[in-house]
Parts: sequence; C-alpha cells; structure tokens
Amino acid sequence: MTEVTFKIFRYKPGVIDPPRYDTFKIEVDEQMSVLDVLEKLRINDETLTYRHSCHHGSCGTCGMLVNGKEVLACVANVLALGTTEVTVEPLRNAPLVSDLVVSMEPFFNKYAPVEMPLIRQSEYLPEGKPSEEVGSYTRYESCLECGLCLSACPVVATDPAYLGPAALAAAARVVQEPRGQDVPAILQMVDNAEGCWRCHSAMECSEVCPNDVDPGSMIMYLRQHLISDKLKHLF
Amino acid sequence: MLAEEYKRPEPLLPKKNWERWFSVTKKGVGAWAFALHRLTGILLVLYLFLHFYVLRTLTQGAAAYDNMVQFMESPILILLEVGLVAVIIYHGLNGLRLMLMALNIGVRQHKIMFWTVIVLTVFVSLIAAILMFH
Amino acid sequence: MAQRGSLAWLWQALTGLLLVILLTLHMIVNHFAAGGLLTYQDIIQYLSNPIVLVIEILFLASVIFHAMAGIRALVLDFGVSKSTDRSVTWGLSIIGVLVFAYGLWLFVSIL
Repeated sequence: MTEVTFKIFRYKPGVIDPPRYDTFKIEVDEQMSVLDVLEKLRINDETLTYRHSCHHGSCGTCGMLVNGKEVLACVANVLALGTTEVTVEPLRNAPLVSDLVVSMEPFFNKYAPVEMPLIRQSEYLPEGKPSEEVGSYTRYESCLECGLCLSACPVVATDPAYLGPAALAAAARVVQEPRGQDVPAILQMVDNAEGCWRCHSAMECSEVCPNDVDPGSMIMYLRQHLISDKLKHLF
Repeated sequence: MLAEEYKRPEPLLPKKNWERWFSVTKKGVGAWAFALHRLTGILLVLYLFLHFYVLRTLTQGAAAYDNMVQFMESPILILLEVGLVAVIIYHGLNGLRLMLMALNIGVRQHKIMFWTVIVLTVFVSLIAAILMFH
Repeated sequence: MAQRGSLAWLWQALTGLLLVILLTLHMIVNHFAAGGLLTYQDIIQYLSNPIVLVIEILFLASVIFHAMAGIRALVLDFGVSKSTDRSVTWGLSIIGVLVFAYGLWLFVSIL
C-alpha cells in the first residue's frame, strides 16, 4: 500500500463554479487503476461525476487526462505512473459537462458521417432493429470511440472544424475495405483543408490511442491514396 | 471563439493558439517535430523578408553591396548565420520526413526519422560553423 | 488553391522539395564553391549565365510560394471561416506577387 495524493478537477456549471481541484490522500495497492480510485472516492462524495462502464479498456467511456496525458482511467495503473501525485482532469477539446465528463457530441458529429459499414450483418436479429434516432448499429473494429485522439491532437486544439483523427481513420478504413460503401463520396469528404490535409503529422493521436487504431498512419494512408489517385488522373 | 466552441471554464480554458502550438510538455516526439517545424518556418519567412531587404544594396552599386558584405563578416552575424543554417537544415530535412510520411513511407518509424533529422541538423550545422569561422 | 486541400499540399510539397535542392545549390555556390560569391563583381558574372538566371528566378518563385502557403496553413489552423481564408489567401497572393516583382527588379537592376 502506498499513499498517493489525488488532485481531481471539479466543475459543475452553477454549482461548483468557478472550477477547482479537490485533493485527496488515498492508500493505493499495486492492482488499483485510476478508475478504482475514483470509485473509492465516490463512496464519500457522490457528487463526483465521471463516465465508465466495462472496467477493462473495451468500452472507451472513461477517457480522461491523468497527469496531463490522455488515458483510459480503467487501465491506467496508479503506481505504474511512477509518482505519488496524480492529477486527474477531463479530456481536452470537448465541451465540459461536469467534473471529468465531457460531451462526446463533437466527436460523433465528425465520426458519424463516415458511416462505418464494418458490421456483421448476422449480429442483430430483425426484431433488434435500432431505434430511429440511432439509425443503424455501426462500429469501426478497433476504435473504442473514446475520443482520446481528439483530445491529444494539436490541430483539433486550435481548429474545431478539423475532421480529426478518429473520423479520418474510420474513413481510411472504409477506403481500405469498402464493403459496398461509396468510396468516392468518403474520399471527397476527407480531401479538403478540414480533412486529411489539415493534419500536421504530430502523431499525438497514435501516441495516445489505447487500442492501436494508429489514426496518424491511417491519415497518411489517405494522403498517399489521394496523391496517387491524382497522379493517375494526370496521365 | 475557441473558448466558446469548447465551452471550458477558467483554469482549463484553452490557451492561446500560439501557446498550444508550442506547448510540447508531456507530448511525444511527433509534437516536438511539429512545433519545431512551425517555429523554424516562421523564422524562415521573417528571414526571407530580411534577406530581400538587405539585397536592395545590389541596386545601389558595387560599393554599397561590398560594404554590406563586409558588415556581414562580423563574428556575431556569422554566429547568427550558423543558427540560420541549422534552422534551414531542420526545416528542409523535416519537410522531407513529412513528405515521406504523407506518401505512407516509414510512418511507423517517424520517431527514428525525427532523431535522424536532429542528428543530421547538428552535424551539418557544425560543419557549416567550422567552414564559416574558418 | 483554397478549394482542394490536396492540391495546396502537393504544391507545398513540390516547392519544398525543389527548395531543398535549390537552396543547397544556393548555399554551396554563394558561400563555398570556388571561394563563393562575395563581391558585387562575382554576382554580376554569375548571373550573366542565362541558365543560372532561370534557375535563380525559379528559386525566387518557389521560395515565395512556399513561404506564403506556409503562412496560410498557419492562419487556417486558427480555425478561421471560409471568407477569412479567402481574403487571407488573396492578401498573401498579392504580397507574394509584389515580393516576386521586387526580386525580379533586383535581378534587372544589376544586369
């Protein structure tokens, strides 16, 4: 057991406003993740809000900044951070909802238009039709849709209109394996100044991606694809 | 405008854009490469204008130009020029790195490529420094 | 240029590549090869070769394009609107042309 000091960002519009950092000292064993600590703290203060679900890095809901780096809190081992002072903050580049919760709306607004077709048709029974608002169940295999890449991207940080790593990686995946999807339409969507050409190859997205989607490489794939397409049309 | 877009309250309010471009603490090698590329790019544009301005002496005849060249031989200016060489070499080599990456070549090796760029920049600048002070 | 991101990028990459080559030449010729071009007389002699003149003008054009497109990329990263982008692109194009004209004037004045 090691005593670790946790500094946790708190903000609730109108309630904890202006925002502040709450400091807690807590005994941590070598099994505990940042999410485990948050759950322990929540026993004493149930106003602390954060998102989580699966506890094993597959749902992608508990993305946050731990000591300034984007991680999934459930798989971020506290002692492996190598420090006894841990700061926990919400993800960057997204509207703040409450405490450690950010709105994923901008993420999905950019992500949804790609319409990932990679869905096993047999997965859903006919009666399991998605509700009208959902439209269809779609998912890009490796991507957890956690939004860490958007938080880490230096371009999203200054240009909210930029499509961003997750959507571009999804688009690249469609181009690689269309499965009946309209590839030219997808290419047109990414082939502009707010698409794959806005990227500055800082590769921060790939750095933080918890599931090796490697969005940076996918963006480079799109570029190479578009350039060779253009060159082919030239001759 | 950005603060509105991301609706963040005070301490986490986004920094100014230029601060964000150059804030590389806790970031990976790629972010350093980007920040350096941008910084050297801005410096080079400024230098380009300065260079053109200084070259106006070409229109004022041989004496004016040769005077200017003589003035440029002061050790401080030569030192600055060594810095300029480093900036140029970095921007050029990293530009090649970015180009290779966009052609989907060596993307996963981008960190090794960055360190190669740095080593080459230092090496070439040192050679230039030796030649220039010689 | 403002429309298709790929063309803007491709031009930036091509001029960049050209600059790596031409700037290396520029540095070697001006400073190292055969003692360099250190006097007014050297430069006049150097530029009297028409091939050199063509290369130098190409160099001038690509360095100005690359610089202006670089500034535009910087401005775009501020998340500016389409109309701001358009005026910035126009403004930079005009500056670019003026600087190019100035560069040409430098050449003409010493020939």
